[in-house]
Amino acid sequence: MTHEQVGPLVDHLFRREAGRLVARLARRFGVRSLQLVEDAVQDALLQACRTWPFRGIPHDPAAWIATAATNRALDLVRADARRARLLGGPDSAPADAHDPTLPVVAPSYQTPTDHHELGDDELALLFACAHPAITGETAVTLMLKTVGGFGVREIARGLLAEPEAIAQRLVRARRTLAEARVPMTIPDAAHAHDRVQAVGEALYLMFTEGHSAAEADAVIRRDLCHEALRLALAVADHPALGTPSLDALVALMAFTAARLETRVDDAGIPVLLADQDRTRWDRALIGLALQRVERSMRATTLTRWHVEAELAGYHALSPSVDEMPWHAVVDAYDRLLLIAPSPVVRVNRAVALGFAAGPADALEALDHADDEGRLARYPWLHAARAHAHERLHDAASARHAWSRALALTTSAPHRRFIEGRLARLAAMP
Amino acid sequence: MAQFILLLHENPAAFADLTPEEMQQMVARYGAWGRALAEKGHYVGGHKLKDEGGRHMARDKGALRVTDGPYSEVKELVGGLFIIEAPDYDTAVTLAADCPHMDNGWIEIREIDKA
Repeated sequence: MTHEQVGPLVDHLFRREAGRLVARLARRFGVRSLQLVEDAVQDALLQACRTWPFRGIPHDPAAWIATAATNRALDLVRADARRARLLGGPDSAPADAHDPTLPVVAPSYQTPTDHHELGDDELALLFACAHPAITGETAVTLMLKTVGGFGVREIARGLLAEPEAIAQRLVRARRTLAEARVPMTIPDAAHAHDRVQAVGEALYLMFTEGHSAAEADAVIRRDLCHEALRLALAVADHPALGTPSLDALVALMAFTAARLETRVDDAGIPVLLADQDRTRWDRALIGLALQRVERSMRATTLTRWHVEAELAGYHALSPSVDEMPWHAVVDAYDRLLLIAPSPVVRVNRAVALGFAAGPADALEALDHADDEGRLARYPWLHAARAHAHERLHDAASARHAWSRALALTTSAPHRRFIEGRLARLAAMP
Repeated sequence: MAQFILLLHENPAAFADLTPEEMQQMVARYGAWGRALAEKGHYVGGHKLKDEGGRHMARDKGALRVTDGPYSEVKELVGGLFIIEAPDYDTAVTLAADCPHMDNGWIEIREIDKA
C-alpha cells in the first residue's frame, strides 16, 4: 500500500457515485433491471471498501467504482441470461447482454467537474421514481435509495420507519416500475409540466420528512433536507424542465435549511425561534434562496410554494423575532389558505396573529382553526393555545393546554420540550 | 525491529449491509490508521485476501487431498493481513488496537520469528 498518495475522499463520494451509477446503468439495462443494477453498484462499492484499505485509494476513485460497477452489472446480466437459457424460458436479458464478445469496460468515466451537478441519467431516474404509478412516501423512498445513494437503514432512520418496511416498500416500487414499463427518459415538453410537479411534490415531502423528524438523528435529517434541495435545484436549473414554481420550492427549502442547525439543541429538543442563534444560520443558503425568490417572480400564477418561500423568508431574514413583519406574515398565511386551505395552516396563522395583534386574538383564531375536528390528535394546536395563555399570564390555562399537548405527543424530544415549559410554569409564582 | 503480522479475522457477510456512506467512512478510517502508522515508520505492508475461502491441502494416506476452503459454511475467515514493525508485543497491540478492523471482526497478532 502507498499511504503517501492516499488523499481524502470528497464528502459523500460513495453516496453520490452510487446514485450516479445506478442511474447510468438503469438507463442502459432498463428500469426493470433496477434491482440488479443496485446490487451491482453495492458490490462495486463494497469491493472498493474492502480493497482500498490495503491498496490505497486510486487516483480517480469515481472512475474505479464506475468500472467495477459496470463490469459487475454485465456479469450479473450474463448470469441471468444463462439461467434463463438453461430454464428454457424466454430470454429476458437486455439486448446488449447477448453479445459474448462484449468487452470489459475500460475506465473511460469522466469525473464531473461539479460534484453537485445532476446528469441526464439521474434526472431520468428521478422522473421514473415520481411516475404516477408510484406515489408519496414510496416515491421519496425510491428516490433516496436510487438517485440519492442512501442505504435502507439510513432511509429508515430518516423516515422513522423500520428497515424491513423500507426494504419491502422498495421491492414493491421496483415491481411497479417494471410492470408499468416506466421509461427512463426525461419527459418531453408536452408532458413535462405534470411530471415536474410530481417530482417537486415528492422532493417537498422528502424535505418536510427530513425537517420534521424530531426523533431521527441530526445527521440523517440534515442529509435528507440537503438531498431534497440538491435534487430540486437540479430540476429547477434544467433548461427544459425548470419552472418558477420549482424556483419557489428551492427558495423555501434553502431558507428553511439555512436555519436547520439551530432548530434543535444538542439533545434534539426544539429551540424556540426567539432563542435560536442567528449567527449560525447558513448565509450561503439564504443567498441562494433570495436569488431563487427573484427567479420565481416570473410566474404568472402564485403557487403554494411561492407563499411558503415568502413565509420561510420572513423567518430567515428578520434580524430578531421582535422585528418580524408579523402583519405581512398573517397576510401570507391568508394567501396560503386561499391556495391550500388546511387546519394546520390556520393554526400557524393564529400564532402569527398572536404576535401581530395580541394573544387574545390568537386564542380567538385558534378556537376556529379546527372547525372540522381534523386536529384532534395534533399537539401543536394546544401548544399554540398554551403559548397565548402564557403571554396573557394565565398560568392555570397555560398549564392545562401544555398538558393536553403533552398527552398527544409521542416524540421524546418534543415531550422534553413541553415538560420544560411546564416546569417553567410551575416555578413561576 | 521486530515485525508482526496482523491476521484480520472477519465475517464477509457482515459487510453486505453497509450503506455507501458507511463504506466511505470505513475507507477513511483505514486510511487514517495506515497513514498514522506509516508516518511513525511502523507500517510495512498489507494484503486483502480473496473472499472465496481458498484451498485446504493435506495428505490422506499418502495421497494429496485438496478441498475448497469452507467459505459457504463458516461465519469467519482471514480476510486480509497487515504487517507492522514494533519493538515488542505490547507496542504492536497498542498500534493494532486503533485499527478499524476491530469493529469488523477480531485481530490475531503473530510475531515473525527472525531469530
